[in-house]
Amino acid sequence: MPVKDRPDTRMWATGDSERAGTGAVKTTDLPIAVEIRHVTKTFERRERALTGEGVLRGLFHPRKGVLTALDDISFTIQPGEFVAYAGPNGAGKSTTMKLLCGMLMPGAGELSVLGLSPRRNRVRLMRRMGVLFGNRTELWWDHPVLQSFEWKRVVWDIPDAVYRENLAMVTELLDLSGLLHTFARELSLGQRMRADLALLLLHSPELVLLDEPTLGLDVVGKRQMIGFLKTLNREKGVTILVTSHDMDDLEEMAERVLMISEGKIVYDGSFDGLRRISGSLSRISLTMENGQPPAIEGARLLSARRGVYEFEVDLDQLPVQELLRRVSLLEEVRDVELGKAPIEEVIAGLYTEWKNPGPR
Amino acid sequence: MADKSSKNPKNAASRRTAHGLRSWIRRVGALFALYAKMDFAWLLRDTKTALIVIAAESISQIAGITGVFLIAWRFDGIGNMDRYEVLLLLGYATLLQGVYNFFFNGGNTGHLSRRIGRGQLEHMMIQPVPLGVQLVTDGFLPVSGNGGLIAGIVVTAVAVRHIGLAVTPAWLLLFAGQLLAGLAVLVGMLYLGSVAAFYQPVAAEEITSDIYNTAVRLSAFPLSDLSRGGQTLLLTAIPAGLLAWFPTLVLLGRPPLGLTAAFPFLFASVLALLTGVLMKKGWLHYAREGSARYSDVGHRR
Amino acid sequence: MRLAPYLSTARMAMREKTNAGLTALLPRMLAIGARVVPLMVVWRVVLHRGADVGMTLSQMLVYTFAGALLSDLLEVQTALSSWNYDGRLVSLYQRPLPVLAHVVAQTAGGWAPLLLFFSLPLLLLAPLAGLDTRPATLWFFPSLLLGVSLGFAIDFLFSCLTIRLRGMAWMVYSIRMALVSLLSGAVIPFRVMPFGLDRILDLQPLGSLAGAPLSLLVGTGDPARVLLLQLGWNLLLWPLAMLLFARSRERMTSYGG
Repeated sequence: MPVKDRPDTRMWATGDSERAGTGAVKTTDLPIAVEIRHVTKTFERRERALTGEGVLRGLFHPRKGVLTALDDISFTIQPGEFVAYAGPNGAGKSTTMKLLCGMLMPGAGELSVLGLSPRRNRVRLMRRMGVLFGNRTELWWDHPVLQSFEWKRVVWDIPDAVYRENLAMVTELLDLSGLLHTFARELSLGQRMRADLALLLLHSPELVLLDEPTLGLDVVGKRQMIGFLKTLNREKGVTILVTSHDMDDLEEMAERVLMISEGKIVYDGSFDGLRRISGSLSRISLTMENGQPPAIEGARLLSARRGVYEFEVDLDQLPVQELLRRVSLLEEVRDVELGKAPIEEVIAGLYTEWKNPGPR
Repeated sequence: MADKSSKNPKNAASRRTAHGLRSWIRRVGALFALYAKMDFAWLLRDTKTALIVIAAESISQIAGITGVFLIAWRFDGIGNMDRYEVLLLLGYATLLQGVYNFFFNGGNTGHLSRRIGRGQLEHMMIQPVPLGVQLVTDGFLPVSGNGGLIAGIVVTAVAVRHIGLAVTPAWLLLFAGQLLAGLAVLVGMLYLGSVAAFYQPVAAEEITSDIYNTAVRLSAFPLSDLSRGGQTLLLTAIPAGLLAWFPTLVLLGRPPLGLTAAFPFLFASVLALLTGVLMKKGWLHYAREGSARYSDVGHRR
Repeated sequence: MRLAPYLSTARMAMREKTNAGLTALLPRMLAIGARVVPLMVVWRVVLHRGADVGMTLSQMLVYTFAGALLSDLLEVQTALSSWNYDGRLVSLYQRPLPVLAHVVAQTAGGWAPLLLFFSLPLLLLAPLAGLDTRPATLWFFPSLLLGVSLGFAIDFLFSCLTIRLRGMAWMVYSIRMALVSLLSGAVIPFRVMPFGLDRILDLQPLGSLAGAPLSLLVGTGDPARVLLLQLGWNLLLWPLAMLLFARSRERMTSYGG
C-alpha cells in the first residue's frame, strides 16, 4: 500500500485541542492496524445422529468432526484503511473477528492488532479498538441509552473532555438526541444499532471491527450508518474492518475487499478488480420505443423485460466510445443506462463457482 | 545534585507497584460506585416497584427457611440444636445468601456458567478491564440485591436475642470473618462448577443454579446428627456445611469435629487455588474451541 | 386430534437434554440427592426420639424419597415465564398448535430423560435398600395425574402474573418457588406442621400438587377426599388459567421493529 498522509488517528477527540488535527502523520509511523500471518483455526464439533440407535450410541461414544474455519490465511491492513471482509455463510469471517479481539486463539500462525497481541494485551488493546457484532447489543436493556454511555465512560476510563466531545459528535451525526433518555428495550432495531455504534465510538478507537452492522436496518437506517462510517474513516482516519452480506453496502463503504471462502483468502483488492476476475465488467440497458429487441455487436443480451434490454459488455474489449457509437446506430432507443455489473451478481457468481468448481 | 534514590531500580519498581496498586484500587472503587449508581437509578425510576421487589425478596427468603423452622418448633429443636439455635442457623444461611446477592447477583456474575454457556463471555472480552476485576465488580447490587440481606439480619438478630448471646466486638469480628469465608466458599463452589460450562456449554449452562440451590438447601439443615463421615463430607467435598452449620456452631462456641474457627479460611484458600487453576484451563479451552452459541438472556438485563 | 406434533415436540425437548450425554443430567441428580439425604437424616433424628406425627419413619422416608425423585411432576414448572421475558413466547403463536398444549408437550418431554434414567429406576430399586416405594393404594396414579394437571394450570396462572408484572418476572419466580416449596407438601408433609396448619394446608390448591398424591403413596391420605379436592381444584383453576392466558396475549413481550 502506498504511504498516505493522513491525520494522526490517535488524535481524534483526545481532548487535546492543540494537537488534534494539526499536522499530518505518515502512516508508516503508525503500527500496522491488523497483521495476520499464516493463521489456521480449527474447531471440533460433535456429530449428532438422528436415528434412535445413533442417539443411544452417541450417549456413550459421541462422534466428533473437525471443522477448519481458517486455513493458513494472511493479510495486513494499514492504518486508515476501510476494508470489507466478505464471504459466503460459514466462510470464516466471524472467526477472524473473534481472533482479532482475542476471544479465540489461533491453532497456528500469528496475529497482531495495532502492534499488540490480542491474547496477551487484551486490556490495552480494548482501550484502542472497538468491536460491534450486529446481532448483539452492548447497551443495558433496562437503562436509558445515556446511562449505558455513562457506564462506558467509567469502565473505559474515558477522560471527561474526550467523553463530552465524542458524545456531542455521535449524538449529532447519528441523530440520537431524541433517544438518549429512552430505555434500550424500547428502541427499534435501527435505533438500537445507532445507539450501539455511538457507544462503540465514545472512547475514540483507532480501529473498529464491525460484524454485520447494517443487519436488519431499513433503507434510511442503512444510508445513515454508511454515511457515518465513511465520515469516520475519511475525517478521523479510523481504520475500519467491516463484514456484511450486503455487497452493495460494502462497495459503497470500502475501498478494498478481502474475500474469504472455506477458510481461505481468495481475493484481496478492489471491487472493480472483482468484476474483472469474473469477466462481467459493465452493463448497458436500452429502453426501446417499439419493444423490438436490439442487437449490439460485442455485447451479450442478459435480459429483456417490457421493452428494457440489458446487455453485458467488457469495456476492455469494446471501449465505451465504440459501444456508444454502436448504440447510436440503433433506432428508437428511448433511454440508455450504462453502469458497472451489480456487485451482488458478481459475488453470487463467484460463490457458486467456488462451491462447484467446474472443469478448467 | 541528582537524587540517587530516584535512579535506584528497586525504588522505581516499588514506586511503580505502589502506583499500580493505587490505580487498581481506584479503578475497582470507580466500578463499584458505577454499579451502585446504576442500581440506585433503578430504585429511583420506579420506587414503588423497587420496594415491592425488595420486600418480596425478603418474604421469599423467609418462606424458604420456614419449613425447617416449623420442624424445629414442632420437635423442640433438631438433634443437639434447640429451636432458636436452629433459627440462628437459618438466619445465618439467609444472611450469607443475602451477602452473595449483594455482591454477585447482578448480570449472572456469580452464576458464571450462564455467561459461559450462553456465549456471553465475549461481552467481557471487549472491555478494557481485567476479567478478574469484572467478576468482582459486575455483580454489585447494593439496592436491588439487599432483600435477602435484610431478611437474614432480622432473623439472625431475633435468634441471637432469644439465645442470649453476648454480642461483643470480638464476636462480631468472628461473625464477619466466618461470613466472608463462607462467601468465598460459596463463590468458589460456583466458579468451580462453572468450569464445566467451558466444555459443555449447553448441558452445564445452569450448573451454577443447581450447585447454588443444592448448597443453599443443604446449608439450611442442622447436620449435627449426621455420622462423622457425613459431616466430614459436608465440610470438604460438598462444603455446604461451611456455609451456615459450621459457622453457627463456631458462633455458639462449640465448633464441630475438633476443628477451629480458622478452618473455613483454610478451606476457602485451597478452593480458590484449585478453582483458579481449573478456570484458567477452561478459559484456554474456550479460546481454542470458541462457542457457537449466543443468547443475550440475562446479559445486562 | 393428531398426537404426532406433540410427540415430536416432546421428543425434541427430550433430545435437548440428552444431546450432551447422560452426564448432563448429573447436576440435577446431585441436587435431588442434596434434597433427599439431609431431610431423611432429620426425620430419623426427630422420629427416633419417639415423636408422634401420625406417620411411621418408613412412611416419612418414602414420602421424602419419592417427593424428591418425582419433583418435576409434583412441582410443575414450565419455561413460559422465561420465554415471555426473552420474547420467545409470542413466537409460539406462529405454530399450528394450541400454545398451552405445545408447552405441556415440551415440558413433559424435558422430564423424560431424568425420569427414565434416574427417578424410575431408583424408585423400583428402593425396596432393596429397605424403602418400600410400592403405592399403598392404586389411587396414587390418578392422583399423580391430577396433581400434574393442576401443576400446569397453576404454572400458567403464575405466567399470566409474570406477563402482567413485566419488570418483576424474577420477583414472581422467587416468591413462587418459596410458596410452592412450603405449601405444596413436596418437602415437608403437612402432618408435621405445628399449630394445626396441616388442616388448612390440605385444603389450599398447592396442597393438591404434591402432598395429595404422596399421602396416597404412603397410605396416610383418604383417597376419596384427596381425589375430590384435586378434581375440584382442576375444574376451578383450568378454565381460569385458559381465560387469563388468552387475555394476556396482548401483553406478551415482543421485541423487534
